[in-house]
Formats: sequence, C-alpha cells, structure tokens
Amino acid sequence: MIARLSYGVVNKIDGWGKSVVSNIDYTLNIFLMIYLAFRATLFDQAQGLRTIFSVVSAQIYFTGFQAMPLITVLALASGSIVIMQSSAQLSLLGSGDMIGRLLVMVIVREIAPLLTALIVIARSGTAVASELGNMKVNKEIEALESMGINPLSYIVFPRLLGGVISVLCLAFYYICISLIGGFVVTKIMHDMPFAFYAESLAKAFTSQDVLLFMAKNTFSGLIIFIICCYQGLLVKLGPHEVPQVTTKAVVNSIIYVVVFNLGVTTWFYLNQLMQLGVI
Amino acid sequence: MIKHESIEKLSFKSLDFEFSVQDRILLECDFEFPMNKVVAVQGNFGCGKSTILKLLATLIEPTAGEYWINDHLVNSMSFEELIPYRLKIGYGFDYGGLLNNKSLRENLMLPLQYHKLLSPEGINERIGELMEKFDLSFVGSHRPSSVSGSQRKLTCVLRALVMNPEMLILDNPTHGLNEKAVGLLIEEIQQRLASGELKHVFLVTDHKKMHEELIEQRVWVDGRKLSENVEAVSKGKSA
Repeated sequence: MIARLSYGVVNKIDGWGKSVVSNIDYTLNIFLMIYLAFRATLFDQAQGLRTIFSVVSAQIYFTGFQAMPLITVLALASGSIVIMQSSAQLSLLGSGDMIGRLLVMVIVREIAPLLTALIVIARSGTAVASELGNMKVNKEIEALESMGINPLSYIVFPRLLGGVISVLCLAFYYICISLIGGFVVTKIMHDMPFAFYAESLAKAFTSQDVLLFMAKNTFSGLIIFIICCYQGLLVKLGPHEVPQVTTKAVVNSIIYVVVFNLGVTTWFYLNQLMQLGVI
Repeated sequence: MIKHESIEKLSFKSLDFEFSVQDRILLECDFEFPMNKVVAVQGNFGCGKSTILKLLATLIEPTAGEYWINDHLVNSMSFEELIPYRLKIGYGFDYGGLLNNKSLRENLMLPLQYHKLLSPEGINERIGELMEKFDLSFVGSHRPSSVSGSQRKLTCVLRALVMNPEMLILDNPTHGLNEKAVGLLIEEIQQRLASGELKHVFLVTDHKKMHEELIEQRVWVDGRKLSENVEAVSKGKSA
C-alpha cells in the first residue's frame, strides 16, 4: 500500500519535473529563434531592405491598420467605463483630481498593453501561425531554402518587426481613443470640464510611464509573433496539424504575454515601493 | 573560396536517415554518386527516393553519418555556408513548393531577384523566354491556386532551371504534364547538358520517354542502401 502510494507520488513529481523541463526547453527555443532570426537578417547579404520593408509594411497593414476598428470599440468602451466608475467614486471620496492618476495606472500601464496584445493574438497571431503552418505543408519553406533564401530572415524577421511596430502603434492608438473618446462619452452623462480632466492627466504622466509603455508593448509584440512563427514552423506531417499549432500558438502567446505583463508590473511597483522607502 | 567552386563529387559516408525508428530509409550507407551524368534514382514505392534527392539538395540533414560535397562536410555547414552550393543546385519538388502569395512569374523571378543575379531587364528576358517556350506566359500573372496542376508543376520545374544550375534535381518532374511539355523539358535539359552549363542531373521518374531519351545511369535504393548499376544506359550524351 505504502509502496504504491509512494510510487504514485514519485510519478506525480516526475510529471511535474518533465513539465517544468519542457516549458524551460520551449522558452529557450523561443529565445534561440529570436537570436537566429536577427542573426540571419544581419548575415544575409542578399536580402535587401526593400524585400524586408515590403513584408513589414504588409504586416503593419494587416496587424495594425485592419485592427483599428476593433481597437476603437474596445478602447472607447474601456475608457468610458473606467472614467465613469472612477469619477463617480472619486467624487464621493472628495478626490476628483485623482482621476488622471487612476487612468494612467489602469489604462496606460495595464489595460492598453494587455488588451492590445490579446486582440493582436486573436487576429494576427492566429493568421501568422496558420499561414506559416500551411507554408510548411505546401513545402514553401523548403522551396525557399532550396533557393538559398533563409526563411528566418525572409519570413520570420519581417513578421517580428512588423508585429512589434503594429503592437506599439495600436497600444498608443488604444490609449488616445480610450482617454479622449472615453472622456467624450462620459461627458454625456457627467459634467466634467475638459480643462480639469486634461490637467489631471498631464500631471499624472511621468517618464516612467513611457518606459513602461515601450517595454510592455515591444516585448509583447515580440513574444506574440515569435511564438506564432515558431508554432507555425513546427508543422511536420500534414494539414491536420495546422489548427493544432494555431491553437497552441494562441494559448502559449496568451500565457507568455500575461506572465510577462504581470512580471513587469510587479517589478515596477516593487521598484516604486523601494523608492518610497516602504520596503 | 567556396563561392566559385563547382560541384565535382557527392558522397555519403556511413549515412543513416530515418523519419522514425520504424521508418528507416538509409542505414550505414556508403556511396559515391556518379557525376556528369543524368542519373535516375530508382526503387520500390516508399523506399526513400525523394528523401535521397532532398538529402542531395541539402534540404534535410542525415540522422547520422556524413554527406560530403567535394571536400566539404555538409552536416557541419551553416545556412550561409550552404548558399553558394544551393545556388548551383536547382531543385524541383514532387508536389507543392510554389509560394502561394506570389504569381507564377514572381515565383520564377524570386531566386534571381533575391540574389540579384541579373538586372531587372535580364530577369524579365530570361523568365519571359522560359514561360514563352513552355506556354505559360498567359497564366504568368495568376497565383498557383488559380491555375491547373500541370501549370503549377511546370512552374516548379522551371524554377529549378531559372538560375542556370550546374546540378539539377527533379522529383517526379513529369507528373501531370502532357507529352508536349515532357518533350520540351527533355529538350531543355539536353540543350543545357550539351552547352555544358548543366553538368549533373538526378531524377526520380517513371516516365518512359525520360528513361529512353535522357537517363544515362541508374542508382538503386534497396534494403536501406544505395547501389550503382554499372551498366550505363545508352542514349543521352554517351549515345
């Protein structure tokens, strides 16, 4: 009985260990692919800037430009909700001028990077993973290699670059629509002077917010597109694998982006607490 | 140094290739490929003929053992080091292989444009001539998904030829092609062999006309080994 129990426990620990090792292995492969994509682009003497920019611009169009209507709706909704809820509560507490600070903390630092990343995963991450998966099935990747064209510099790098630029632009657009549009929507129900609102926002913005915005969105974009490219290129046997790798690309991108955002936010607030001398 | 080196020798040394333990293609294979000939790789269904062509084209790596091009061990070469050889090798796929987001003409132009091997006018001229010859001009602006299977196949085979390779590897090049296209292809290969720009050809094909008019030697895949049929088939250059 005890032997069977201990065998079960060992098996469970063994399973956890394997899962940890496979996750570390996966993460290392992702880092390796980022390095190889950048290296291949640097060392590829044949690939001109024109080739890269044509794919980058197409990626920005599909990932950035075409996502704007959806981002507009979400930004307006989230901005209005946060402004309406917080202005009412803050007025009750007598701290109405804190609205700017609250918006910067909630929308600029947290909601905008996270929701933008989730929308990009849903729209473009799936597209990239399935596109590359189908290219693998159709032997397009092998064809590129046979022509002496490195898929990492020709396929992966422009998607990474276009993806990162798109995520940065979309997050910036999200913040603008959320803060300005949100105010306009709220104005219909609450009487809040724009000058007061703008001053409160201006006071709340710091250089650290810019840093946080750049860090979160740049790395989120990088994480999404490298994971989706990696998963797409994992297709080996046939078309039936394409939906499988696409699903895995979405799940893994969400996990990595959420964990990354959480990690950055935790580090940021611990740093602030240290600066205040609390810890 | 490598860039100007011609392909003179291809050899496998104790080479293993397997997709899985149950699916072994080659085991401890030592073989030196016949060069300056049109060689047909032959064997039973599923014995690994296409895999051998892919190994030769450096598109897949052996599971174990060594693949040598001249005096260079392919296994230890990086992608960048392999490029000069890949530019000398034209590879035609059994199926697929065309970029679906490009037209047939763009597919043919891609390697020349990417490696800047010719001026834009030179590229247009070379591609135009080939497409004209093989009656593909009228579908040049179409994407692979909107043309017939034989036109896709022909484009894929022609793309292997556009860089004027010195080694041509074609996997089932006649599949789906009509007799006229097969005849033109044989003629094109023979012309290039005669001019000396094309030196080595490796084919997997069951087409009777190809065997009769083009193939000079056969290499057999049997029992996870390669063996050379020393009896050079008549015709071709030796005829």
